[in-house]
Amino acid sequence: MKKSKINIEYIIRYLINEQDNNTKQMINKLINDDELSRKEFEAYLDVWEKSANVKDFEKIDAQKDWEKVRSKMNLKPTVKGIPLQRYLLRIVAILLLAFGLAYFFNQLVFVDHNKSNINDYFEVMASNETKQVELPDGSIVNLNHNSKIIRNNDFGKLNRDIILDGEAFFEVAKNPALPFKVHMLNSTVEVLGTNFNVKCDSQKVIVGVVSGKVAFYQSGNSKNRVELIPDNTGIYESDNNNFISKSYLDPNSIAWYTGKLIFRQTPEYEVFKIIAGFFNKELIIHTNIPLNNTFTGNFEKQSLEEMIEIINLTRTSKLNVTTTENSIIVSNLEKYN
Amino acid sequence: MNNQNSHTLNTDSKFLIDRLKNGNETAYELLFKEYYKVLVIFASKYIKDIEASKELVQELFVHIYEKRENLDINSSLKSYLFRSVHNRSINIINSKKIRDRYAENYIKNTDIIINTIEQEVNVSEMENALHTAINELPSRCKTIFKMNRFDGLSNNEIAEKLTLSKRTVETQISKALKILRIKLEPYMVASCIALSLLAN
Repeated sequence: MKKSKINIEYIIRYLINEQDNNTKQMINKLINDDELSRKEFEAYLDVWEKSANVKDFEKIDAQKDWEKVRSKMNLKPTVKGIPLQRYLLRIVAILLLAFGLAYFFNQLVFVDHNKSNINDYFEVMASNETKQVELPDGSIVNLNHNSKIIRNNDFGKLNRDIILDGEAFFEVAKNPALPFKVHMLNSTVEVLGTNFNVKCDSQKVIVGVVSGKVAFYQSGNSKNRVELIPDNTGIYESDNNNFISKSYLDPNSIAWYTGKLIFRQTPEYEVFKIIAGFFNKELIIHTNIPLNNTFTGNFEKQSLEEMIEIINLTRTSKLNVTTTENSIIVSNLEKYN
Repeated sequence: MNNQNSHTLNTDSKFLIDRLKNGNETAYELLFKEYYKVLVIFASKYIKDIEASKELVQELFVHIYEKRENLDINSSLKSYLFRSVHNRSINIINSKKIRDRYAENYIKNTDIIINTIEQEVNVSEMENALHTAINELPSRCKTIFKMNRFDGLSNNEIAEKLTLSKRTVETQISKALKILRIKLEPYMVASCIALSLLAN
């Protein structure tokens, strides 16, 4: 790559000290003679001038304004557990006599958004990136894009309860005395120490177990349950309240965490769909493209471009795959050349 | 992109859109916190009033929520949001009542046609990235840089207020500029392309 002749120190001296006439003349001469110097100068000038404009951003308080907007929406709470929680508390109240106070503390899991002080619970949210969070008990939560966890102040002391919305991979520290529970959409995952992935949306929860043993059950009705061992997948659908277990774990379902994509005679359409999901992009396929092949291969740490190149190596007719910030577009190579 | 000739499949963003359609709180919070600031700045490019811009964007989010069951987002959420804010801004400018009220604040319609939406989106995104990058500067560097750029203080004035030498102030500003220049590189390319397209 060619380098511009201009010395960055001069540009900066010029910007921050405009009355310096010597520097000014030198810069003017350089940017007239050399295209790259002019571009470099303009880039710095742009940053310098825009910096004064972005002052307005300081007047915008997204948290405060979110509260305003939130109050105008009749939003569903993160977990359908607020009515559930009252239900739980009622049961707990009945059981209290029989089991004593220790049981009560164990069950008092949910954060009541209406009553509790905001300082009583912590939430961590990942929007455009994945996030790793260490919990007070030493467990690690890896949050996928667009996901959130909530725990309360007593986490690690009186409970190990997490409310999840979205997707997360849990590496749970062993503690047989205090079960680790993940709550979402009327269901609970309970473990003592293990590694597993949970993904939930508004209708469905999918649990994938990597190590250890996991109980996956209806919140408030732990008889409606499945027990999962490594390489099992558990699925809960809120429509019918059913828990199903499957004796395999799709390695690509945790690719966002492991970084590994594995394909075994996978139809190309599926391959692109999985790759797009992995890079958090949407997939656009022109309908005239026949994707009849299957693909076998592993990817680890490859860039999107490298993956596409490898897939194209297995094809007789090459695919034209372009990427934008938000999407992967598959079209016919011939047509566009 | 011709939408009739291609079918669109959302993967992870479908996950988010599904939750938006369902009225899920986290989904709205994520979307709001991700785009609120940049959309307000984008709206203010048109309506030149930061408070009115805030209101406009807040109303859009409430509207999206209220109409969630009929949400029709085929491309990306991002372009949907920017386009909606753009349309609402233009409506405001065209509304005579408000134009009279804030006459001197609003730019004339003709000014808007000169800049394409894409260009304004690029500038807004660059400013958003710049603002984030400024707040990520090392603490002393950030304070000094903000005093210069945001408060309009001279290097001498900053040196006096912080009891530093003028040379230290200049070194810190220079450091800030170098960091910001590097962090903003991706946006520079985008705006250069936009400008060159405009020139043709």
